[in-house]
Amino acid sequence: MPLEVVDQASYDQAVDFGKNVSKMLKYIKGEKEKITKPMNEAVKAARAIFKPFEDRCEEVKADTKSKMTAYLTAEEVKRKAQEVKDLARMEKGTMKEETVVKKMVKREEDSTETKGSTFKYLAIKSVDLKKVPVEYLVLDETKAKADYKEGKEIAGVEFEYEIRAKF
Amino acid sequence: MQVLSSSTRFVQNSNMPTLKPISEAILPHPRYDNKRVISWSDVIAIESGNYPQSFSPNRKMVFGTYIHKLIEEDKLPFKVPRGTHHEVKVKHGRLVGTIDSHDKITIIDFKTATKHWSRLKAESHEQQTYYAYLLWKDKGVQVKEYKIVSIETCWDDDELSLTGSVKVHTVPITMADMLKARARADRAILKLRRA
Repeated sequence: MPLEVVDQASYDQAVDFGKNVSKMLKYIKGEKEKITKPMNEAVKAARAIFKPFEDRCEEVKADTKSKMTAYLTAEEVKRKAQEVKDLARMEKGTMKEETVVKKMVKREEDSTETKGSTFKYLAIKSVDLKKVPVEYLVLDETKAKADYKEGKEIAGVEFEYEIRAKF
Repeated sequence: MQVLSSSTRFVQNSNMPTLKPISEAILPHPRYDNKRVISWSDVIAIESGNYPQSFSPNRKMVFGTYIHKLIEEDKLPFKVPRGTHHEVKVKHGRLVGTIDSHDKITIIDFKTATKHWSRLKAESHEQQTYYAYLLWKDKGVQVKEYKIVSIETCWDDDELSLTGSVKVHTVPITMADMLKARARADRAILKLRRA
């Protein structure tokens, strides 16, 4: 193995050496695949048997969850509407604060009969990309490179060709 | 139309859950002159079945109290938001609480922790809306928001110390929030009375 590439002679040596390492790597991978390929085929076949059932279960699970979420959302809307109504009556003086609180307690007592649990999922409601600070934006490198190769200039992105060694 | 006989009525009434008198259900509170009152941490303890709680302050709590005292005396080495009133005891009926600091608009709660409080944790901190409710009922002050002032600490040679990093989360308080906190406390008391 050449320790350093400092002139044309050592560069040529490195090319030959690299080619030999590549051949060796190919041989090792070939030997490995003789063992792993049939195994992978077997795994693939086993997966294929179960996949349709798994997919169907996932579908049904997602559908059930979405129905549950829709119900919870509707209940929350109802609860909030009732709360707004009660608070408005309280401000107007036609309902006592104690009654508003009692109704809240009752709603809570009723809601705990529900099985299962819920969690708070942080979702993005809307996005205005013009206002999003740059630190949160990710460059689509593949698209940028492809467009650049087609002759498009992309503002803010500078390209250069690097010379990389190849065997 | 079915007419209920008096015996049927009696059976229905006997099915109603019997409630302990409130003065029996609530135990004397050592931090409030042994009065039979409920603090927010009692509400949490009742909900999780750990009432009455044991009061054995650990090192972190002792350090937190020390930092609170420094803030109250404005002796902290760095600035943190402060109200005009400190360590304010508030009460409404059987419900009690002690507010770290407040002014006419804001309730401020100081939290010392080795990991900063997250926005989600601060927003879910119903204790502050409970305090807001008590402050409103007891002193007539209706605040609009609460601030969680998260003061970062670290272990330094087996000693707790301040890193100097402060994070502030401001959360608005609505009337609905306040009444919900009161409802939660009422529900906890109801649970005690049913036990």
